[in-house]
Amino acid sequence: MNLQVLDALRRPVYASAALGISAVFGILFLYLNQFLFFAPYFIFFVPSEGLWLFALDLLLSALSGFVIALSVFQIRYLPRLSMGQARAGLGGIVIAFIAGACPCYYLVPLLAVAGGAGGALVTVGIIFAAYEIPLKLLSVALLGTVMYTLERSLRAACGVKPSAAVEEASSPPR
Amino acid sequence: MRRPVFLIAAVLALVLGAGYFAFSGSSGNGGNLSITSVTPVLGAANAPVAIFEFGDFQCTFCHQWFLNTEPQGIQNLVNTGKAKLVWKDFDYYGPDSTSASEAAYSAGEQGKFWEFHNYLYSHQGTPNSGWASRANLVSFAQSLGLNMTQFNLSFNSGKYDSLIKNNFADGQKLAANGTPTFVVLGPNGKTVQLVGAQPYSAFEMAVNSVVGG
Repeated sequence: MNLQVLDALRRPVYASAALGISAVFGILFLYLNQFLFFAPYFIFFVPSEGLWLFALDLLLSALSGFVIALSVFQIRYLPRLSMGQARAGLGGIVIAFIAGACPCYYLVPLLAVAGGAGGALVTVGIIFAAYEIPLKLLSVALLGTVMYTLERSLRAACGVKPSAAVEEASSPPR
Repeated sequence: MRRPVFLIAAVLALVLGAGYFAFSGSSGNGGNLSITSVTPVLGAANAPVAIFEFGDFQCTFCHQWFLNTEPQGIQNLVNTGKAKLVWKDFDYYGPDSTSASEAAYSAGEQGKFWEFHNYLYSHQGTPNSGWASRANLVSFAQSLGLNMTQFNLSFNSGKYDSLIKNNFADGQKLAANGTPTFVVLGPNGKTVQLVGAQPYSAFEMAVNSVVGG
């Protein structure tokens, strides 16, 4: 089966964008979940109990990269698409980012240190942290749906309506 | 047409901003790394290197460090006399964290700080879910066979309030931007700061670095 999203990614610019964005998301997620450390030494470390989270981070970052690149492709080449379709992709990206980055224990102490408003933000951080895995699974599902929507919209835009083809074939040559 | 492009740009700016925040290093400006009579220390007092841990008993990454790194660190660095582990609480999760610290210090009066520390991390629940309530902390003390009259007297006295506040202030001065944060202090005053549940190899390198320096 020929997937339109893969066709779009055959263009080097979009393939590079997808890979680059995936890499940025991946590095950010792995850092925030403490699989990757930059200081004082560069260390990559995945404890055995963190394997699922690590796999989810990789999946989320890959999906986010592809969805962003394909959304740009969609907007660039299919300008007549509805805003709703474009929003689907962007919504997925935003949710992926929130789910990936908000269980960031790193931010919680900073927010607490910030003072008065910090307390409420700590609570938000704790809630995000407590539901980290379900949030990430939700993001994967959402991004998967967005990919499917993108595939359908690209297929619809690139395909030729069968009725139009029949009409064209049956009409007498001019 | 312009709006989606603007949104993509906004998302990317957010990602890049978060990335900058995440990867920009922190540098401390010299918090108080002194060890007093009430500071919990694991290992030989004359060990040349001190590893200060700024932690919270409710912090999940502190728990990860406790599970994945601390045993190896104790075995290879503390038990060999190369380093000592020093606890400084950095209680940012709220009242239950502070209570847990008070309880641990109270247990320390009976020589059981580290047993209490281990017990807390071994029974850690979701932050602020009540697992570290004062009632539970008392039952943890009972489970460890502490003298409860002495424990309760100390636990309810508020005598560790200033220590806990000072430790938090020290953490802030060191620009601790997450827990656990570690400061490895060498015999010549050289320090290396490690943030997060870093693996044993990072600590081994840090210890060698401050000793060598």
